[in-house]
Amino acid sequence: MIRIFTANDPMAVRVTVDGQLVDDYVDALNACMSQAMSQPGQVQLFLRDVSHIDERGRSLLAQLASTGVKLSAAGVYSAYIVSEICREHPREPEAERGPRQP
Amino acid sequence: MIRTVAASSSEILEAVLALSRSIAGRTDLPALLSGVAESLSRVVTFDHVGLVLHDASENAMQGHILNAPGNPAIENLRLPVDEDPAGWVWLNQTPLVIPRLDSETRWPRFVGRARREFGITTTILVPLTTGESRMGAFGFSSVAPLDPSPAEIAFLERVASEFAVAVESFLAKQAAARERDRLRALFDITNALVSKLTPNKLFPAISEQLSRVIKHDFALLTLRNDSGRLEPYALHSTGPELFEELKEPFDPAGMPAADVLAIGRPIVARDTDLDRYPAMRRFVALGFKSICSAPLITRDRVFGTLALSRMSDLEWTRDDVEFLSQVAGQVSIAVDNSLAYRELSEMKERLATEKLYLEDEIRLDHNIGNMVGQGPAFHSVLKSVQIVAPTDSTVLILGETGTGKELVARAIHEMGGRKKGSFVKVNCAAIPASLLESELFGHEKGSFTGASAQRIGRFELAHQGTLFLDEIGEMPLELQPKLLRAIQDQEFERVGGTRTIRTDVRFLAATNRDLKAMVDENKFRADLYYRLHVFPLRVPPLRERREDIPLLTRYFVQKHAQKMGRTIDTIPAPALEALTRYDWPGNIRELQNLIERSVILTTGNTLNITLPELPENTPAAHPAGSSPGATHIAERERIIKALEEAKGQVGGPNGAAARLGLRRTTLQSRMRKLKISRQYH
Repeated sequence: MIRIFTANDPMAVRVTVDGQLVDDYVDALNACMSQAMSQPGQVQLFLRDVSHIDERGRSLLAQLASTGVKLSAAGVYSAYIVSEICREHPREPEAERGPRQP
Repeated sequence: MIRTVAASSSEILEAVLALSRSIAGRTDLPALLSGVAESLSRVVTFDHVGLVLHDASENAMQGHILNAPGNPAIENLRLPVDEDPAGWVWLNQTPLVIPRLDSETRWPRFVGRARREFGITTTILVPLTTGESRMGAFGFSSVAPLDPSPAEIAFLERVASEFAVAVESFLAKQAAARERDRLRALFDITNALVSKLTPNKLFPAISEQLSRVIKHDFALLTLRNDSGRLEPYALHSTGPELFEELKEPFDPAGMPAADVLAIGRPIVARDTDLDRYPAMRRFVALGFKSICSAPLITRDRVFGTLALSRMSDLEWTRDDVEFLSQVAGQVSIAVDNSLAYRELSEMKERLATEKLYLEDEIRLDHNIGNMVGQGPAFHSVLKSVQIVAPTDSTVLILGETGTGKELVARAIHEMGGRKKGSFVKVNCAAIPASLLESELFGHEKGSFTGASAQRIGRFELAHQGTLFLDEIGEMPLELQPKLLRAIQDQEFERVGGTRTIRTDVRFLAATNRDLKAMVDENKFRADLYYRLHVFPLRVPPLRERREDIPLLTRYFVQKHAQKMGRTIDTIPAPALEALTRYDWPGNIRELQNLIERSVILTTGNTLNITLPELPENTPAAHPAGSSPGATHIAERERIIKALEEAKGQVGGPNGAAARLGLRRTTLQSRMRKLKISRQYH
């Protein structure tokens, strides 16, 4: 199961994920992220209570990280995976994405 | 009146012959009347010729009057038998002459209308009868007064007897045609009912077919709900747009439907009858003049009504009501089936959801997790799983105890085409040998002591899914041939049964034993071994994938911490190193249990890992919690090292916090506690 929340702030879109980032749930997150990234402003993805991330999930996170999404996570396992991904796929400069219009 | 009285008998004979010729082959009543009028006009003086037929369904006389050949027949003439002189003739089978209507008092309704609308003075009626049936009366009338002689009446009786044969034949044909139309309509309605149309499309189709036989302007199908109210299931109107209130369930009180539901028989309400139903006032105000409502009955229960309404004065005949009842019978079956199908579909959907939920629960209850790893050995297994999963091949999963063979089996099921089916697991070692056969293949009632009911085995449960035979090496030798047949031919018999059951199951098996050696020792059948050995998949022990231990440790820490409501965000590096060095004879199961125990014993944010089983010479052999000073020194060194690597940067993807797997704020807090400043780089 996966639960995805999207919050629109004036300066950023915050996507919060609970559950498992595996199998078809990866597609669900991908769809949400595409929508979030179509809006102006910074996009932040927070893995709040993610118990497992499979290969597809890791690939998506890596892809998101390389396109400028700011990743963060809670929990030793998720945080470790995120830190590894961030190390392997540094973010693009944020200047490319301007602040959102109110 | 009758000119043939003055004419020769040959002219009369010729007129009778002409009559026969003129009515032969006529297919409708007005044409028949027209033919009669035309052939008789040469020998008979009259202004109107009429055919009055007895309607047995309502005991009334229905008139068909023609004022001149070729004109349309006047048909809105219907009177009860005792109010119509034609009824008297039909009853008494005697000719009747009314020379002057103005002095006739027995049939005032008839006389009044004949004089007012047609100006008739004289009416002559003779019985219209064949050898087999009395159909009604045949009549002539004239504006000028007439006084026929007995001979003239005899001639008219003879003409009527000729005409009666033609009318009887016509009526028989008409009845046959009507019956054919009804049967065709019923057939079309039945076809529409089985066409799987939605109620919104189906009902107009039914209503349209019904219109061919029973004229109506409005049709409504209602179903009774649990509270006794009627729910409109479908409606169709060719008249006014009806009715806003009919979109919601309504109380049938004050409607003919209430009586239909009570007595379970059709009801016709028209004109003054409708006054008995106060709820029908709005209906009458919209211009509806009559309603015929039939019950929907299934298994002796009235569960709804089918009602037709008319805005015209057309009467509801007994045939109409009977036909509507027949249609209601067909509709009842279809609606009942449709409701049962809907209930089954909902139940099926609910069961599918329940199954998913229960599978999740089982995973949680049995501590079934996910495949976690990132090293080459893990990827090799994962690649094999990805290759074999989409095929339907049997897979033999080999590996030491605790390496995650069941997880691999579940992953194969989840990645395969049987994902929507069930994953059924049988642990061959956990079930007594004497019960294993019954567990796998099921049993029939009474097949052995204690078999008080029929039971479906795991093979049948796994139909269209996957059957995972864990610890296959423990399978009793005597059961192996039956298992081989089930795997090979996908068929078996239940214990105590003779019927062969076919299933569609994918087989996965797992063992930690050396099956080949068992075959050599005759402890395992070679044929079964080779059948299982289609795609052997070896799951490496944890000591062969040490690179995965840190990730697995983090995974289990997060899992158990979350389960126990703890916040653990640091795992001491020396402990991780010690865990990585250890050989793990119990593999992942042992690691998981150790982590669970450690999480229980942890009181702070740092995992208090206890490694009593580890060799004395490993750094982690000294419990981290037993020496706080040492722990602090080690942690301080670790943080300083990370800060140096990150060139003093605490946050960000390349910062020290990320390198340590900590939040920036957590690291800053630790740095304050351990008196570390950012200058260390």
